Amino acid sequence: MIDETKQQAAIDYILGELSPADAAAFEKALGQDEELRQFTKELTDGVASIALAAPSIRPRPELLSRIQKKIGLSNRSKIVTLSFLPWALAACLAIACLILALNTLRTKSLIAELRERDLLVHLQIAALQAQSDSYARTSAVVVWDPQKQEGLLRLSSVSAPEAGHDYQLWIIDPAQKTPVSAGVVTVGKAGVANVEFRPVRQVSAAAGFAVSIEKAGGSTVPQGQIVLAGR
Amino acid sequence: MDEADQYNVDLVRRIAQGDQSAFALFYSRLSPILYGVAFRMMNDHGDAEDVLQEGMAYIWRKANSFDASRSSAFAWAAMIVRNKAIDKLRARRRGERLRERVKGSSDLSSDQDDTSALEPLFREQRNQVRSVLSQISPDQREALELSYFSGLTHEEIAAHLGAPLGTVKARIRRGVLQLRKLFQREV
Repeated sequence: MIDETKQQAAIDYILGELSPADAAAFEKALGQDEELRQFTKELTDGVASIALAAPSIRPRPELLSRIQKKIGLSNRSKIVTLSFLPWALAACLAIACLILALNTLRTKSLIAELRERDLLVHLQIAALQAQSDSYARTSAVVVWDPQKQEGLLRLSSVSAPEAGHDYQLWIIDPAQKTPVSAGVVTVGKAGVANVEFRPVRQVSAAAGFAVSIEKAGGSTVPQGQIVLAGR
Repeated sequence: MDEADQYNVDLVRRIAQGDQSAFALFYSRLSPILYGVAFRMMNDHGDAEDVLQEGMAYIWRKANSFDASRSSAFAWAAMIVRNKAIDKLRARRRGERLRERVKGSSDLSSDQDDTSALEPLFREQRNQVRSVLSQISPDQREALELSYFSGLTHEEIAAHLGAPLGTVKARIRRGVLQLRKLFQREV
């Protein structure tokens, strides 16, 4: 049982109200008292959750580069942001879209040839198939880089979902109980979507990809109709 | 620990090993929330950018000090950014009127709220947190939010609210304990 004095000390510690000496003493106590440590962790997680109540604001895209520069990281392709995906991914998507416009047999042989030439050695390409007649004319291609845990999705000839709904991309990872969300997909007026995505969790192996119709803003697990899928 | 935070923990561990991609991913996932907190506290985009920059630089340098037995990775990052904002607020406090600093501080709604910047899981958690906060009495919530976002010490909050220090501390304590209880139940 954590008495009131310790409770107050834990709260003051979390909120930064303790003097440096008192904070050091409290940290020492944390190292020796498992119950106090668990209690303080629960308080910390609870207090930090208040951050989620604040309005979320996307920072300017260039801020990441500024931060990377400040801490001495280079802007090499290893450091990528959603706005600056490596050219190789984009190029592979273009190649994939081009070859998917050709017949399937030729597509497979061309991909095999590119793989042999190491051009696509680390990348996974999937053409998603329509799961209902409404999407029979839709072309959907995913290029996935498992090393960098990022990818590109291109949809064309797809209509916008009904009001109050969004398309959402999922990655099927056999190591996980549920598909991993790769984010909401916004379709432009021309019926085209080009989306750079990163999954919300680490994907150990992408066994397949799917697009579903979810409530606006997306879901944590797929609940709506799967309209496109492939591997 | 839920899957999303496990992923955050994995990213922090990779950052500790100098993995720059993990750093970019971590930033990509959390920056809308962390920047929202920084802006809520600083009320200025330039200062909020400075705070986020200092916070992320600290995360890069000190990722190896993260201890999952003491907090979630999200809480660790949020508290770092909050502490950076408090440092900055306290550094610029001279000459500034207290009343101006805490103006509107209990208002967590904003026309700048970019919900679409959040991943679905965070959106769900946000709804739960707001629900939890709505269950806390108004005076406790006000004291809690002032304590979290304003950068004021408890003594300053007491002065601002015109309440005895002991009363303010008790409100904050009860609010935090209730938040912990409700958070455990709902989140």
